Amino acid sequence: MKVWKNVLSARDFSKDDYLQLFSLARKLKQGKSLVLNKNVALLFFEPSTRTFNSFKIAAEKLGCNVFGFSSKEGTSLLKKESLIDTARMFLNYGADCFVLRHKKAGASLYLAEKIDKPVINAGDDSHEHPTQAMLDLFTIWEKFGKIDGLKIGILGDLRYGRTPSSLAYALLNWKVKLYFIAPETLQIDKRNDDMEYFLEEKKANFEKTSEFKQLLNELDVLYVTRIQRERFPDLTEYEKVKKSYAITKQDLEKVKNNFMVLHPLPRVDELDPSIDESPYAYYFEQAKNGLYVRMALFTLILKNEN
Amino acid sequence: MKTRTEKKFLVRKIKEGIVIDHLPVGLGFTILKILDLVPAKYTVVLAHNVESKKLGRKDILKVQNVWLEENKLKIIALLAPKATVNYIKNWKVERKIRMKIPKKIEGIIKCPNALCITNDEIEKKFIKTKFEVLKSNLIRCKYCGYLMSREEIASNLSKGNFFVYSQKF
Repeated sequence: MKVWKNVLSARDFSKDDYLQLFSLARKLKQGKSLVLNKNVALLFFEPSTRTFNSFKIAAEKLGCNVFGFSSKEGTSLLKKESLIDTARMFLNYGADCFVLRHKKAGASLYLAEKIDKPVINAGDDSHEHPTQAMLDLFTIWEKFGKIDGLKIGILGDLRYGRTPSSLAYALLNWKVKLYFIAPETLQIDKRNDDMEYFLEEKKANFEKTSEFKQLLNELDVLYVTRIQRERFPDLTEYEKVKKSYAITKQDLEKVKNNFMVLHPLPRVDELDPSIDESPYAYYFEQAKNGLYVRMALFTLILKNEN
Repeated sequence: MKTRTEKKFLVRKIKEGIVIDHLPVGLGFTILKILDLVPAKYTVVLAHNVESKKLGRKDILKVQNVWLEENKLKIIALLAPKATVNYIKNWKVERKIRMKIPKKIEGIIKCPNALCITNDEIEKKFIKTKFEVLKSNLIRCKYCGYLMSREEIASNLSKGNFFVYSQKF
């Protein structure tokens, strides 16, 4: 069985690791209680109310002390203190584990190399967001009871978004068919992008497409991400793309009965609110599952920290 | 068949320095840029597109009074895995190194991704860049996952300012 320590990339975990995590997350969701009595440092160099609070509450529900910061404002980081010096300060205060969100890709690997405590990557630039992938996958596994054989569409900003990468890496542990749905400018790109290289190395069963409305009727899961305005220098082009990749209730008229729509949230226009009341909307349950998956992670990691 | 003049030109010996042989055609210019020589300080011979039993055609680079350090050897090995580097002392080959593709490249070249932690204004003082060498002609930054082909490395190096450190000969 795996000795859980760092959570830096969704690529670092096997199918058995994910299943071990999901099994524990389900027990915690069903009411199992645990007290770990450890100290968790949350270092969020980039603000994120959702992810920050999900980790904070997860740690507190396990009887842990939580300290750190949710953004750089009001800290000595504005005086240009280095990441490692900042982490060392919290180490001296007794941190047993670190959760890091940082603007620069690879920051969590760098931190893990320098300090001898577990590090959880809570998102680094457009690189990875492994715990998001874990809770996404847990949501799929919980509903379907399996992941093998599913057809999963991942839509939106695939080139610069970190959640699509981590999700794809995690899904490659199962026999799934992946559809990468994006306009050409936001599609995964082999040239400098690790993801497509990795998909080919793993002989993944995947397709890239920009047309998807017909495809919805074949999918089991549609994972929607936001297309960000700042990726488009031309506002007209952005408005055009944004409109053609937004999902409405009408688009879901002929989907499978057990079709599932996921979104890492926050959403803007890409998911119409009329979908919320449909049986396909799982994004709120998905967000709730983040709490239990992060509790499960803390449990697996901090049990080893004695 | 080589003429007498051509043979004399190609095999002219140097007393001390390096001879980089079996470079792919065209790479000689890039390697010369990588060496970053102070202009007019060294004598250099670059033979471009000459006959080669091993490669068909090749480039050869000879530089007097310069010795290559390990870091630059690794880059040459990555860009020209079939090259040979001969260290010449007193007109003789003192050491001959056949290039072998390294498994990793650390602390030598920069990552082109501006958002990689290794390029962060504050952190870059403390972090060594790390690349793993993948089959299929690519290297990958261990921190941010940026992929670079040999051609991109060569192109970046010849534009200058791509090494982590600067060492002028």
